[in-house]
Amino acid sequence: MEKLSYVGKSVSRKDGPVKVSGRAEYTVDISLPGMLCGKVLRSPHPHARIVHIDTSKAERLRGVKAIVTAKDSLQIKHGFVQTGRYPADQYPIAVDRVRHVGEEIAGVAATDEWIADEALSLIEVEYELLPAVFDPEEAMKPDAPEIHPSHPKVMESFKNVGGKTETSWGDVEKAFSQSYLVREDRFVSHLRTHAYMEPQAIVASYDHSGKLNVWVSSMGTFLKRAKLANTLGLPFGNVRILKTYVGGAFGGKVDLFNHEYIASLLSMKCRLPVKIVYSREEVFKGARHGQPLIVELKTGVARDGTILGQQVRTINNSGGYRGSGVVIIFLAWGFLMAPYKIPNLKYEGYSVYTNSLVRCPQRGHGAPQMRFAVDSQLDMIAEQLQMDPLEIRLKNGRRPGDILPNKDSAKNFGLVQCLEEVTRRTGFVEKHRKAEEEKKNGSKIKRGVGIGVCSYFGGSLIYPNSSSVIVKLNDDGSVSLITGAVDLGQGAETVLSQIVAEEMSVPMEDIQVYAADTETTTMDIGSWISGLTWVTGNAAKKAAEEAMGKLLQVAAEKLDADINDLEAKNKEIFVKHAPDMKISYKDAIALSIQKNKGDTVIGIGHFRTMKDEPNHPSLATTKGRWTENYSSYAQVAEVEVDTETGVMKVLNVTTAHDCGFPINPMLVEGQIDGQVSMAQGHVLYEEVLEDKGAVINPSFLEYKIPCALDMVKTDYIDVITEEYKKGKHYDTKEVGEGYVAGTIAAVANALYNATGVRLNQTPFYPHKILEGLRQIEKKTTPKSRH
Amino acid sequence: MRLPYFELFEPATVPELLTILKREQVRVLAGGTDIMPLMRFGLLQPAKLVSLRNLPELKGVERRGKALHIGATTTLAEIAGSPIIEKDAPLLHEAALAVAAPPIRNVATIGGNVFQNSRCLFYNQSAAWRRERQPCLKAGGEVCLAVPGSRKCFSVYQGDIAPALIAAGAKVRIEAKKKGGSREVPVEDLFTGRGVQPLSLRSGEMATHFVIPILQDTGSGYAKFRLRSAIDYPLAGAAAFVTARKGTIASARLVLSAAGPAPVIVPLDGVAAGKRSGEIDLDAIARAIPKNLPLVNNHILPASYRREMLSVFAKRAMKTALDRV
Amino acid sequence: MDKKSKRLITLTVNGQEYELATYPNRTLLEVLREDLSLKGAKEACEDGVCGACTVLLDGKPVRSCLLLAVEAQGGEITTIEGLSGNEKVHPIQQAFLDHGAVQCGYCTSGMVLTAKALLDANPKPSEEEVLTAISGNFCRCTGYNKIVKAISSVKTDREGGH
Repeated sequence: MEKLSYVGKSVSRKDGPVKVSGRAEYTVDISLPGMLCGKVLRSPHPHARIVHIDTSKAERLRGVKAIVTAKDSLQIKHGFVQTGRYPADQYPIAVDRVRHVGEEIAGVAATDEWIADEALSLIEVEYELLPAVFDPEEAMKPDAPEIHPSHPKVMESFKNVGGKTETSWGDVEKAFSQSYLVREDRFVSHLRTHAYMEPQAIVASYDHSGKLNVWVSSMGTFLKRAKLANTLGLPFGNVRILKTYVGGAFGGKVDLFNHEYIASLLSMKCRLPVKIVYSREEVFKGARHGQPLIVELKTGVARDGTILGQQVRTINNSGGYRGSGVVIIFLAWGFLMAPYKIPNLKYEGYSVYTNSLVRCPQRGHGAPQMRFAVDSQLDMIAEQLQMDPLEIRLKNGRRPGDILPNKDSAKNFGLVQCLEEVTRRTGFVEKHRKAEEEKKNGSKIKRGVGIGVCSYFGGSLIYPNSSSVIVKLNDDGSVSLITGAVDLGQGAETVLSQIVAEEMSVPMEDIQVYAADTETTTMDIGSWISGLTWVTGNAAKKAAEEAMGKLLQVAAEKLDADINDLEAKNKEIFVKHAPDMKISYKDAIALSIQKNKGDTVIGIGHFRTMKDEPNHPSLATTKGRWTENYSSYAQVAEVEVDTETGVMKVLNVTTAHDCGFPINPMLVEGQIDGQVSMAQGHVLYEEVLEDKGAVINPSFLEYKIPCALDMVKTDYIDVITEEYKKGKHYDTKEVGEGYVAGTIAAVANALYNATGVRLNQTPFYPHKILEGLRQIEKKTTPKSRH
Repeated sequence: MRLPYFELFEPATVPELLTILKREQVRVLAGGTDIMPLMRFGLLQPAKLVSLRNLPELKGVERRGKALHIGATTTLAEIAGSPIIEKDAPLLHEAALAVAAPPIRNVATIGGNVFQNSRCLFYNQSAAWRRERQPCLKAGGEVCLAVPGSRKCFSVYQGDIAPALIAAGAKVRIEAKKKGGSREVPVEDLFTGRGVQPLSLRSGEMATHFVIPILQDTGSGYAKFRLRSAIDYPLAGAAAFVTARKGTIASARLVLSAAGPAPVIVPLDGVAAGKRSGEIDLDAIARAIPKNLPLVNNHILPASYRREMLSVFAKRAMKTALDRV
Repeated sequence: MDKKSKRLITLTVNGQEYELATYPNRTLLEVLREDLSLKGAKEACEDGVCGACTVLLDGKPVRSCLLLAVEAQGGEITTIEGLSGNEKVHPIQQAFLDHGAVQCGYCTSGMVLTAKALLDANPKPSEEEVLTAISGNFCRCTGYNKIVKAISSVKTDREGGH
């Protein structure tokens, strides 16, 4: 393993000092002269025709500077997915119909928040109510109210189907007929939300030169710019998204949000800056939450536990518009087929419209839901075969070099090693067996352990499909790193600096990062699908290599040495066997300017995954190569259940992770901790409760994210399957999303191990656990109840 | 979200406060932890507030003879940290520590916690979101939204402090600027039993002190059920207080929180008194809980489960009290 | 609109006195952020639950979103900006940096101040005491693990707070 100075070290965050001293600037902190307070009028109805909007009273209110409705809009639709098969489907401000409670109908900009609120109350809207439907399976029935026509390529006569993913290989019926055991189960993952600490916020400022400057809490500036520009009818170059820090996103800030369009439109109308900030209630009632998913899973196995075939049907509740629903049904397939070998498969996924808030990706985007299903069922199968949970997973886990059904290579897939390490560290097999024995010993408090497994992929093609990075030398030898990457808290700026520091032998303090500005920084793939470290990281590496190459060339000439005999350290280049022969970067740059026609030493790097593939795989058929980067993990959770109340505590979670090569181990651990906490909320008590399409628990009091006293103890095991080598492309794998999934599955299995209660629907509320315990007492087989 | 405009009075003495209460239509502002969110949501829109901040007479814990006098604006942090209360009113000490989280306790007052509004998922939302829906009964409308068509409000009183005070036999001192304006009543008399207006004082009245009798040979326990380990209001709560004489139980009180629009005093006649603590049948205690508690599915866990947890936590509280006596 | 009247108030923030005119219905959080440009305290909820608005009032953590600005008079208010002043970073802030206790940073101001109040009162807290002290500050990024490690690692000077 190469000796590294910066990469692979738990270097302190670049943006740490400003954050810890309260000086980091978030969108809500932006203040501009003349800035107005913007607010959005939202539909109180889940499904209605807009008959008439009268803004005249509101317009007459003193202090109101602009009001916009659909008549001010170009009415160009947008969507999370915008392809030939799935064209944009939502107006950025409602035109003639609303399809969920909270849909945006009008915007006002006023001199203060009180006036803006009053203006909203003065806008008169006449609605014609339409019948509404909230359950996706109800929405598919022939007599369901139509929210949108079903997708024309969906052949079945289901209503309200926004999209379908369908794929198969082998012969699944034959596989079932040859199976020793076939199980069929249904799993339901509920509606929960990101609960990022920073609410949605935007400041839009349109000036008289026709330029729109935007500060916005978002996960990807270039995607946001494209969608804003398109819907507003502005050239991309006229829309500038400037950098702000982002207070967490977890997938919830990718989409173009209608209020962002509305803030921009208001500003364009009155030529003053407009700030819209959501209240927390508005985040719950108006923003986008995660994806509920039903998974119907039929699995056939051989006597020795080898999976012979799986048949899967998923149904996603996408809300009033497609949102990312058509993506999750595709991704769910990916999370199904990546960790374990499945020789025969039939998969169908439906994304269904309901009159609820539009859904969007939430950390894992299909992995939590799918792994919960697959790993719960695998444990059930193992029990029927009298195998232990580790054994059956070792049997089915993919090995390094496996070729996946979509022709991707699993490369250095470390799952087996993860399984072995995590079970060894936790004493899993012994604990599991012991808990089984103690189930019926009459004690009130029960403990149990369970395993969960996940594989995630990174950096797949999604607009803008590539990252570029510029490494610019300043003439004193310090470095400016220019990147479009957004730091949401995951540490993007730090990781990129580490890579550049390593490649260029420049200390971290001598690297300044200029990021996330569509005008002054380079295009970036965006901080989602966990691609940033890999895609932008490799781009940064290349940029640094190029810049370094120029410096080395100049040094080789000056020192009259072969370029391979040179070494760099601490902003100096010297001859390896004669270190007194050296040149500082400062002098090398000056020489470059002198000798190389004014070349000030700039390095430019680009990177794209799947460099020969024109596009991402088909969302409809899954055909197509996806990524070269599959991570894997195995997690063990230990839980404790109070059988008198049904209350479960997650005591600890141990994660063995194959994330390739951790650029910054401390940041990786932070990601694991945060995801375990998020998973804990998902399984125990986080749920967005809806009543006829309206969220009725829109606060942190009633939407229960874990507090410090609920903290889960965590432990980590690095399974390092890649290497970082200077001058070479590196493979690192994702760390931002996959650990939620494994934790949920592990807790589900641990609950069963502790109590014998098998729950197939999250959250595992205490009354559900108690109900399960009662049923066991009555000695009837616990069925999964929904 | 912004607070609506209001005028603020800041009296410096209790007589000044009482004059304002008599003269004006005002709401009282103590720690603000209950009233401020309600104002932000537009559920309360007082044009005038009167602050209790500058009234040192309403603060503090004092032993006077055989009773503890606790000023109504004493913060829960001060109560939780008071060695006098820990010794002479341990049930109150335990209940205070169970409330919310430390930063809230730094400003929340004992009076404010007792006088908190009842809660329901359908009520505790901003007025803006209900503009075109019917307001619920509690919000001034005609029907309950939690139980469609009902004309009864099912909001739940979720205070931790009041049940503890009631179980310990506490009284509240009330003052008003009028003839015969001073009175002292048991804390349970503050509750109307109606969700729409769960607490009442007569016009111009102000609760100034809580008075807790200091007794010997007591045991107590406060058991709170909530989903998270801090922050949350109780989904079920029980305060138990027993006294002993010559080795047997002399009196036993059990008061429930989150059991309806008011704390519920569980009638324990014959179940505990006269027995040794080890002989008391905890299941009988649980069976004494009224069967018809007005619980419906208007909180995060179903009513049937919460009803069951009231029994479980009543037993836990009582067991703790009996173990400690 | 009814007649509204402002008041002249004096707030002592980070050791400095500020005189300003404001309406009674403005919270301390709003005044700090909008009138004094001290933006470290954040608003992340509206019912005093999340803790992102935490400031110290006479050394104790309080929700500045639930405190009226006029009611904060007479007390010593400390915000995150007042923690390190012009010297180097405060030991608690350094501990947060060293232990990876900061990710998105939105909860950080409140969390650090709450930690300061804890360590001032209790220089060697147990893990349970740390968890209780920060139980009113939500963090969605870190799961709290590294925050607890950071706070527990701070070496304190017995002679006088920090």
